[in-house]
Amino acid sequence: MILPRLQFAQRYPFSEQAKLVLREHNISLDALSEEVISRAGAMVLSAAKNKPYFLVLNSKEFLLQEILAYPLAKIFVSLQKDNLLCERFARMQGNSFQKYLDSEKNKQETATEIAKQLGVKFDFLGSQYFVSVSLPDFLGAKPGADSQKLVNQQVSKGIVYLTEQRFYAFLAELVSARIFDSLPVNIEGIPKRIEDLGKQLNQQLREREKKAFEFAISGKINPSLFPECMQSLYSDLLAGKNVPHLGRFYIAAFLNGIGMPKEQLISVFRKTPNFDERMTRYQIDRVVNQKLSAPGCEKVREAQLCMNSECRTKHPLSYYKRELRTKTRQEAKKNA
Amino acid sequence: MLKEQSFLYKNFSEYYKKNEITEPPMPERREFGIGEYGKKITQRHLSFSGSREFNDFLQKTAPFYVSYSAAFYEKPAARPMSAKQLLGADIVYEFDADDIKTECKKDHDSWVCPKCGSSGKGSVAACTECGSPAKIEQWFCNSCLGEAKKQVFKLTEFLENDLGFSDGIKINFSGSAGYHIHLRSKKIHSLKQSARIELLDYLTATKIDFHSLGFAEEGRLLHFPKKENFAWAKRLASGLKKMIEESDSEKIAAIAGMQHSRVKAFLQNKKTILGHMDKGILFAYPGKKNREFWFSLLEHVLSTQKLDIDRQTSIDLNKIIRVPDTIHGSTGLVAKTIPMDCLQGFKPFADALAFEKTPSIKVLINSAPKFSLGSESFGPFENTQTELPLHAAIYLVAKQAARLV
Ligand SMILES: [Zn+2]
Ligand SMILES: [Zn+2]
Repeated sequence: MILPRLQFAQRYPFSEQAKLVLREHNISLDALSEEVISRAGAMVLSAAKNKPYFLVLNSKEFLLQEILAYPLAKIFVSLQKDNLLCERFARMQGNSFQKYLDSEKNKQETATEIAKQLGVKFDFLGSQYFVSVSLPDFLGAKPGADSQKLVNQQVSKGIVYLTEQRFYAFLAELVSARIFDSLPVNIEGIPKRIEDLGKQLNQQLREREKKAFEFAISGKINPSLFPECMQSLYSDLLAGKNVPHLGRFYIAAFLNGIGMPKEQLISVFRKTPNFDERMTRYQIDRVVNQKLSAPGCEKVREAQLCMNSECRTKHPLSYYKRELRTKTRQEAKKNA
Repeated sequence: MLKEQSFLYKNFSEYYKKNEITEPPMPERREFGIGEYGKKITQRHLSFSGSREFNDFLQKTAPFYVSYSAAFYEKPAARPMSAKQLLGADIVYEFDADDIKTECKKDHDSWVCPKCGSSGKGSVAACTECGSPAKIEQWFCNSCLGEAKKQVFKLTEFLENDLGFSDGIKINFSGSAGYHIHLRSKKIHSLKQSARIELLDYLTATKIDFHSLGFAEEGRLLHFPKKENFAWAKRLASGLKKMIEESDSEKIAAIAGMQHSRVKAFLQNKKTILGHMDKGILFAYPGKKNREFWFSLLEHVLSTQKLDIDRQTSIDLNKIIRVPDTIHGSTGLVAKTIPMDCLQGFKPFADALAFEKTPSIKVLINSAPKFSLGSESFGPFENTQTELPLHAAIYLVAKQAARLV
């Protein structure tokens, strides 16, 4: 089988192409390899952690494992009888779809193919709007961000007019909705081995949840563990210095990213010159509601806000998390 | 049974014998509920094999209130709700006059304080003397129901022009306080809960984001949607433009909360402002309040155009609602179906009468404001014993404002 076909099937595991690969290989659940099982487990764990699942593979063997793992992952998810996990798994697939699509050379072609498979009625317009979608189809997706809500679209006579970016985001949401609707899958009569593996996975998921909870309650924000760039922006704000627009946006996204509550976030900006509560609130709302992601180091550098070229990190968020983990461990030792 | 109850029952039953109820469509798939004198729903989970059985039931039982489910089910009578097996659902939006502040309420509504005994005219939330919650005696007239009707027109405009749902719209008077709009097209039936929320948020402009609609901010620069626009973007853009064209400086200053003289000076640039709009820019209001100025105006335009719809009832898949063309037990009026082209001229207190004027009935009226039925008006009454035409007697007895003598 040719590589591009397998790659397509792996990236879009809900597609007809993927189903065809499954049919061609027709492997029973009993006969799935350890590798496939472990890949399926990895998919479920990524979903539980709200992490994207995005792989660039060129080996036919690995690609095939991923393709076979997808339906098994859906079985694992269904075995947990956990609606939140179903939701997360579906959302992860939607997010992955968006990332894979972004990485395609010919996005429009791939999007067209997928949209057709999802049964979406649409027309490319090539005018001020990229594409038009019928309203009932558009309503099949559950908007992830406010900007994707119907109230914020251009809609006339039951036709929704979308820009290219919003069209792709809509398709991702639709993928997610369709996968969510397909869960749980029928788990009657599945082999005992798979059921047992599902139980093991359940154990892992529970432990993870417990840890995540502990992290959340111990999660007081500790600015001394911020990377220097964020520390400097943060203290400038508190000191009432004038921080440039981009800097304000970056520190807000960073603080939101580490879980600072919204009201506290707004109060960080209270001392800035010309503080305008409504304006600040509006901007913070956008950061929080649209989950605008915190900037990576490259962006910080580009904005000339980087304070230490040797801090050897790729992302201020991962820097903070790493420092926090180290500190927590040290304190645990001290207490012991 | 009370004398009053059997009087109403006898008349309601007569009505159902004379009038076949053809609503709702697909009666065999609906859950029905009924109510008694003074209680809107006393029984739910009823089902009928079809229109015939339903009409037989109405003639025999003549319930004071009859409701049906917007949803249709495989097994409408099954319990719990999940056992009914949902097959699809209409959407029903309700517009009630009691949510709208109108001048006429001062004339026909009154309140009593259960705590200190004070009372007065109009509709108040709390007693004006002691501040405890007041008990309100609500009445409706053609004028306040006219306000509810305006909302219906707004809604149909949204449904037709924006959402393309012109098929299967059914409008009826609720029989008492407002109007019901049933959306029954195929497109609607299969919509998921999340889609129903999206439609509601659209109509009520919930979570509207000016930025996403083309009023983007770029530093101090505010954009104005320039390309061909539809829907909310178009409503907001043209609403804003109209305000500038009219240039009512006092009104604009009040809305924006800014000094009249400054606003007036700014509006001297009307031509430039409109010219900038055509180029896709909101001409900057001088000083630091550029953003505040324009966004207050936008908020204002929004508030005049969005609909006020009760969130809970419009997305509840399990709700039941009055069957059109049945009698509302609190008024004795019909929940009359209104064809779209008759809505403008529809007068609830003339066009939704279920009963004749004869015979006349002797009643003792506790208290009632002036009201009209058909072409006649009655009252006001205060502890009055009198003889009234049948329809007026039924109206007051159903409202529990009068007794038979
Ligand atoms: Zn009182
Ligand atoms: Zn009135």
